[in-house]
Amino acid sequence: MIGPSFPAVLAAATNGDEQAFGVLWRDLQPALLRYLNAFAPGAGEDLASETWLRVVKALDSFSGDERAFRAWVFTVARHRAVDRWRRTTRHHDELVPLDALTNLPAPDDPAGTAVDAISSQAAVAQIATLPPDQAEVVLLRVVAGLDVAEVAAITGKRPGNVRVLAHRALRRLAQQLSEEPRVRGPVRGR
Amino acid sequence: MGSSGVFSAEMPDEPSQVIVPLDADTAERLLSARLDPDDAPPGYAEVARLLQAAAAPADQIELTGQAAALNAFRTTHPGPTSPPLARPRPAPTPPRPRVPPPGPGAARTDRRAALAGREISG
Repeated sequence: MIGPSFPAVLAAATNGDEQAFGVLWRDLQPALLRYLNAFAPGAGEDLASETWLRVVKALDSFSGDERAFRAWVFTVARHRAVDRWRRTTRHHDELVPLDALTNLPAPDDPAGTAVDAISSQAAVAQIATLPPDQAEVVLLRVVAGLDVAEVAAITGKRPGNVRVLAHRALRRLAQQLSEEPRVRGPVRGR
Repeated sequence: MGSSGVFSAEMPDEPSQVIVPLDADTAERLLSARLDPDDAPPGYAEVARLLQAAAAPADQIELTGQAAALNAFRTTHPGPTSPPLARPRPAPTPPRPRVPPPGPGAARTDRRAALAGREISG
């Protein structure tokens, strides 16, 4: 999070200040990549670029605080991911239904790697093995740093439903991690 | 069959870890990656580590596209939306000197010529 300087940074970026845009980009790009790569493995970079293009074009129409900005960027990202899925389905060149994306092996599949430390990429890949609606809720909560109400607004679910999905996801992760010795070793963030 | 020559079905099961039901506060701390694995309830220490890893600060490789992003910003940004503060006012435009009107029919003649040219060529 950028913090108290966010309004000034946003105003400067809206007026075309490259450095200010760089601050916004560096703050959100890692989380965007993690979120998008979980749903479209290998396409995260492209989808993030599309997301930023949309965001830049509409910057002057945005008003709100940092949390609202974050939620807006992830809403745009989600639309990009869904659009891509629709496009690829229509053109029959990549028939990957969105619901099945999380069943694909991620680039850094934790189940295939014996690790004593886990990267953020491997952690996200592990989360992506959850049922898609659970995975998305966890990613938006943990990776994007959004709260229940924000996730509910982005996904079109009721807050209570978001809580239930998150709860189920945590339990499922606990079961997976206790059953899979390969990912049970010491795990650390970076 | 396992590598030790024992069928996996015959291998003794590892004692499975107890996974206790989560209360709302603990779930919230897990989801905000604020729960220390050492403080996690039974069965959730690895989940806490996993979620902390997922929320870890940016890896350098995730920021490699910055130059391209800034370039895209330069070409995509629609331009300043508000004028800079304290912009000096432009000096008032002096009144235009009155130009005597051209000779009678001058403009009309030019226009006619042009139209004629078009008519001839077209």
